[in-house]
Amino acid sequence: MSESNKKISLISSEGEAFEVSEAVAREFEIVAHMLEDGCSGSSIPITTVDSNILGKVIEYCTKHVEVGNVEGNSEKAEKDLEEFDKRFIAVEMNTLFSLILAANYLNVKGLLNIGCQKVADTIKDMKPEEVRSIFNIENDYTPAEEEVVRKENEWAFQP
Amino acid sequence: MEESKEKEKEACQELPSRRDMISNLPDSLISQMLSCLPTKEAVRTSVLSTRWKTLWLLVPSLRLASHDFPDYNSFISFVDKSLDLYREENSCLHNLELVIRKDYDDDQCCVTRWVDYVARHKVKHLDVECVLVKREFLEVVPLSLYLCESLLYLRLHRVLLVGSESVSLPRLKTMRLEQNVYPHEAFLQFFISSCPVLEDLSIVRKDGDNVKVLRVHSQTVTSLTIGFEPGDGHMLYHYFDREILGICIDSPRLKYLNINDDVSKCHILSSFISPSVKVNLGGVRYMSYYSGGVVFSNQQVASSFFSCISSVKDLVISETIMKLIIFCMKVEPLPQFQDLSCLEAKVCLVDVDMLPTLLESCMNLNSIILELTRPTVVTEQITAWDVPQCLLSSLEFVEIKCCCKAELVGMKLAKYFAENSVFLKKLVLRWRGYVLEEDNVLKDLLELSWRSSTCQIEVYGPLQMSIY
Repeated sequence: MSESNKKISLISSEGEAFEVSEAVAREFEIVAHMLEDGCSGSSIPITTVDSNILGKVIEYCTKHVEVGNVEGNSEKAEKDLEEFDKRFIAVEMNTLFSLILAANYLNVKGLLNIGCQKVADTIKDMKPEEVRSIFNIENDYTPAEEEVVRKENEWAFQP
Repeated sequence: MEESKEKEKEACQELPSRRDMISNLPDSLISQMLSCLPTKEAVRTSVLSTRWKTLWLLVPSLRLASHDFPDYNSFISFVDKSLDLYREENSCLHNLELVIRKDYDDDQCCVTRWVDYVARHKVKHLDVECVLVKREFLEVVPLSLYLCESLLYLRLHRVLLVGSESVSLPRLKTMRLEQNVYPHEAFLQFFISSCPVLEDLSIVRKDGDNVKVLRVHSQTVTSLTIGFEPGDGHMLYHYFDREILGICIDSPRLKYLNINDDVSKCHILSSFISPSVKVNLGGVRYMSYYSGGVVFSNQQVASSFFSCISSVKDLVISETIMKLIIFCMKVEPLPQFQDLSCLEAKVCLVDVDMLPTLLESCMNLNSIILELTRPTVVTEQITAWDVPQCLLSSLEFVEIKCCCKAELVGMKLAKYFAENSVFLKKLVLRWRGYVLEEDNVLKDLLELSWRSSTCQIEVYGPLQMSIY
């Protein structure tokens, strides 16, 4: 197929160009839509995503395109991909949120899902105080207000 | 511990910003994150800060268990209140997952009205489990669910389905029906056939569910799982006494058939299994055959079972099924499983001796995975084993998994396959106990006189793995 050989440049917010195959670029739904709308240019500016994050998103999409292209042995391939996702998303918080924002903007659904899942897994089984400290959330309730909120759904705060 | 926490702190402080990134995300993203959590956890975020007070209400999902509440009534009022909020906001509830356990049999009903509400409001994922509810108190599924156009996933556990002539679930892909009671047999068949894109179907039957023959007629189902749960208060022996139930499958696209039921009690009525279907009998735990002794081999069920698996290429069998096969083998010769290419079996250590005879019936076997279980008797017979045809012509892959204390038998089996399989390409040995060391095992295996010219060996002990 000639289409899969076509290269597209994605330009990060710093102006750095990342050359990828069209198949990988199409994993960004926002790019896929641009291509379908007849945007035939070979370089596409991604102005809100910096090089570091764009590089990572491309790494994610490249892996998923590669695995998607391999035929047969799908169970093993799926497991490998799961492992890849797990390792890929094990990053520190700032990077994680940057990835989520980028995935949301570029509309890379799989990446958005594993990013959100990762945040949820972090919150799970944590006390509110611990969640606040992990994410630097400032508690702007007065103690009295906080008590009211707790009372409202008391059941949820019981172990 | 303290030290690592200190380090963590430092690492965080080194970062360019210690901003609260999560609270600054758009509502839609926070809502997506919270939707990955059970509702209880999502509700707890309301106390983080004023920004979070009502964010959990944006989640189009309720995932609750009644036992998380102080009592059943507070569970009911929480769900009612939440549904009212969704109604007021005119927002959709895409996902409803409930585990309901009543305090008393006559606690108020709720399933009908809640399911009716979500079914009329674009629910996509519905999972209702009524725990331990007695038959006479089963809650009724509302008819509106039968016509839910948005539904993608449905699981119903211990509810009552009433009859209706109009069922249309045009998007439903996955359906799990567990221990429900149906109006009659034909309705269940009709219900299944009324899902034009259904792919994954799982049915757990129970006593008195008004279905004698389960008929799965579907042009789209690729995976079918069938199980059986003894009825309320029944002892295990009743399980053996239960009547024989039929299964009739007409699903040309079936790829995976999993039977977790006593195969001698589920009478397969049509020879439906196309060779490409992967048949998994790995979940069969109880069988009523071998107390009956010799009589079994005359039973129709035995021939039904063998005719069912005789054309299968890919078969997984449980320890119980293995016992059944071995039992039959002692009474009369096994039929030939000419098409069988991949076999995965759990074998009791006491039965290991029967393997060559079984393999003699699998003349074209390409791959075998054996899991050794129950190390009660150590067999010493392996050295004198015959060499079945498949070892000389087709077997390329062998994997042996040993339970604790089965390692020595596992090694002997490995030796048997190594020294007799002409075309073996890969041998995998796994064990759980600490009696063997990987390096030594590898050394021992390499010293064998291998029949095949090149073979990959992998050994996995309880801790590490090493590959040669």
